[in-house]
Amino acid sequence: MEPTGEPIPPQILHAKPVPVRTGEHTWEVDQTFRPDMRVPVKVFADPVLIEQIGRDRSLWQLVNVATLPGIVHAALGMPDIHEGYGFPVGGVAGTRVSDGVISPGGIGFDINCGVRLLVSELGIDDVRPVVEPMLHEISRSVPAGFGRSRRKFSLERRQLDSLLDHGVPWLVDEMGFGLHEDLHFMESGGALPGARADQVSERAKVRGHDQVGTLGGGNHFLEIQVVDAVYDERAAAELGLREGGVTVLIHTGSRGLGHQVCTDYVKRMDAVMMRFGIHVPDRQLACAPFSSKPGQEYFAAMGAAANFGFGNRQMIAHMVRGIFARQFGESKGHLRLVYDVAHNTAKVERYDDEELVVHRKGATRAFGPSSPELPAPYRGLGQPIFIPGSMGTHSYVLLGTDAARDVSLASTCHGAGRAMSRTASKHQVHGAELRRQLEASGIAIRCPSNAELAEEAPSAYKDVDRVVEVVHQAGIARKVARVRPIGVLKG
Amino acid sequence: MIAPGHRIEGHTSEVRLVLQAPTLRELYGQAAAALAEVMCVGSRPASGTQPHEVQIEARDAAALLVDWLDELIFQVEQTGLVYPAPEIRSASAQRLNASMTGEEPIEWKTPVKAATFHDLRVEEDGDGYRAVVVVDV
Repeated sequence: MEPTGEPIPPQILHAKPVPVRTGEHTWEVDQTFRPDMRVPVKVFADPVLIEQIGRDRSLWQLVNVATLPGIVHAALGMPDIHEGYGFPVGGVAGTRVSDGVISPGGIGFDINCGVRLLVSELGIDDVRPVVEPMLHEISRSVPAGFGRSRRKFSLERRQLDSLLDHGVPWLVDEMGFGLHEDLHFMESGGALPGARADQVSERAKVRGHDQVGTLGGGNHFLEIQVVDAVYDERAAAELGLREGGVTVLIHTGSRGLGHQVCTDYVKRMDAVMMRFGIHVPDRQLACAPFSSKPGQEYFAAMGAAANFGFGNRQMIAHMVRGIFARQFGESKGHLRLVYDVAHNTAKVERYDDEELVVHRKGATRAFGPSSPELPAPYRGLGQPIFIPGSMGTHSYVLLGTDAARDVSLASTCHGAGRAMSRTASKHQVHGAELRRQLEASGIAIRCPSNAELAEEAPSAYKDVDRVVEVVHQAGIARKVARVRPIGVLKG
Repeated sequence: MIAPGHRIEGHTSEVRLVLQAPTLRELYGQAAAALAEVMCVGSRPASGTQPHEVQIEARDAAALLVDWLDELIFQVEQTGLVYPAPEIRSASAQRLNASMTGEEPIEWKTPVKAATFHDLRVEEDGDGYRAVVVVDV
C-alpha cells in the first residue's frame, strides 16, 4: 500500500474547495487543490444544487476522501450529497482491493440502510377508504422510534448468527418469513458474500437480537403509496407499476447491530492505522488496508450487519403482507417484491480488469441492463432504484444504466438529501402544524412525536424532483415512475 | 475557571455537542446532559430503577468521550431510559467510573446512533476543558 504523507498544515487542510463546471451536470475539484489528494473530486449536480452543496462542508469532506490510499478515478458526489462525518452522505469511493483501504466511516453507522418496494394489484380506490386502520395495524406490528417499545420478535443467539452468516435466504428457508421468489429481487440475493457472524461483537448482538422487524427512528419510514406518474410505460409495466396502483416502500437498516459494528471497527482502525503508515485528515476516516486482518474482519462484520439489514426489511415486509392479506384476501392483497437496494455498503466489484472496494455512503448501486448480476426478469432492463423524497412528498422509481458504470462507479443518488439541520428545521417548522398540513393533503400519518416530525419536514430537504432530474439527465439512472404517499408510518 | 455548560449546534445531518467544564469529570457529565437533551424533551425519575456502575477506558480523552457517549447510547437503547445526570465518580483522560441511574423521558425526540470521531476535540487550557463531538442521528 502507498503510505500517506505527514499531516498537512491547518490553513491548507481547511481551505474551502471551489468546484469547476466540467459538463452539463458535472463539477470537479482538481487533484492539485490539496497536496494530499490522490484523485480529483467529481460531483453530479446542476447550478442550483451545487450552490446548495457549497453551503456545508460536503465538498471538503469529499476532498478528504480523495486522500485515501488506493482510491481510483475520483471521489464521487451524488446530487443529494450533504455533510456527514468523515465521508459525506451521498459520497462514493472505489479503492483497489490489491493495495487500497477499507474505511468503516465510508459506509456509515447504519450499515445497509436501504429501501425496498413492494407492488400490489390494488388501486387507490381499494386502499384509500381503509388506509387509516391499515396504518394503525402496521404501527402495532412494526415497532418504530427509539426506546419507545419493546420488540415483538426476538432471535435466539444461534438464529441471529445464522441470519448474520446467511442473510435473507436463511430467514425465508428456515423461518418461513417471506417467499422464495423474493430472493431473486434483492441486491446480492439478500446475503453478502464473506459475511461472518463471528466478527460481530457481543454488544452488537445484544443490541440486535430483538430488532429484526423494527423500523427504528430518524429518517426511516414505511409508506403506503400510489403511482401518480409513469415516464416509461414499458419499463413500468415490467416492474408491475401502473398509474393509480398501490405500492409499499420500506426504508430502514441494520439498527443498533449495524451501529455497533461501525462503532467497534472505527475505534479499532483509529487505534491501528498508524501501524500501517496511514494518516487521515479526519479521524472518522479511520481505515486499514482491505487485505489486512482488521480490513478483512471489518468487511466480514459489515457483510453480516448488511445481512441483518436485508433481514430487517424482509421481516417488516412479511408483517405488512399479512396485514394486506387479512384486509384484501391472499390473492388480491398480495404484495410482490419489486427490488431491495442498499444505500450504505462496501462491495467488491470489477471495473476494467481491476477489483475495487466500492464504498457507497448514502448512494445506490445502479447496475445497467447488461449486468449479469441482475435477476432474469430485469436483464435488458436495468436494476430498479428507489429514491424516496422527503416525508409527504413523492418518491421515484428509476433504473440503472450501463453508462453509470463508466462515469459513477455504477452509483446514483439515494434520496432528496438534507439541506437544513434538524435544529434549524425545528425552529422553522412546528410538528403539530406539519401533521395538520400532511393530513389536509390526504396523507395519513403515524408518528408518536411532533418534535421528531418537525426534524423530517419536507423543507429540511433538497428538491427531490431536481435531484432525480440531474441523475436522469446525467445518464446515471433513468426515470420510470413517480409515487406519492397516502399513508406514512414515521420511524 | 470555566463554568460547566453545553450547547447543541446544528449540522446538516447530524448534531454537534459543544461542551465546557473546569474538570474532565464535569466535562463527561456535561456530555451526558447534552446527549439526553438531544434524545428527549425532559425526564423524570423512573420508579424501581437501581443505579449501576460502568467503567470505561480509552487511549486519550477524545476517544474516551466518544466511548462514554456510546456507552450512554447503548444503555438508553437497552433500558428505554435516559441518563441526563450520571454520577461521575472518577475521571481521567484514559479512564472513567460512573454510577448510572436511568430516568423516564417525558417525550422522545431524536434517536442517536453513535458518537463519531469527526471534528472531535478535547482541549485543555488554564481555565478548564472544552470539547466538541458530533453524534450521528
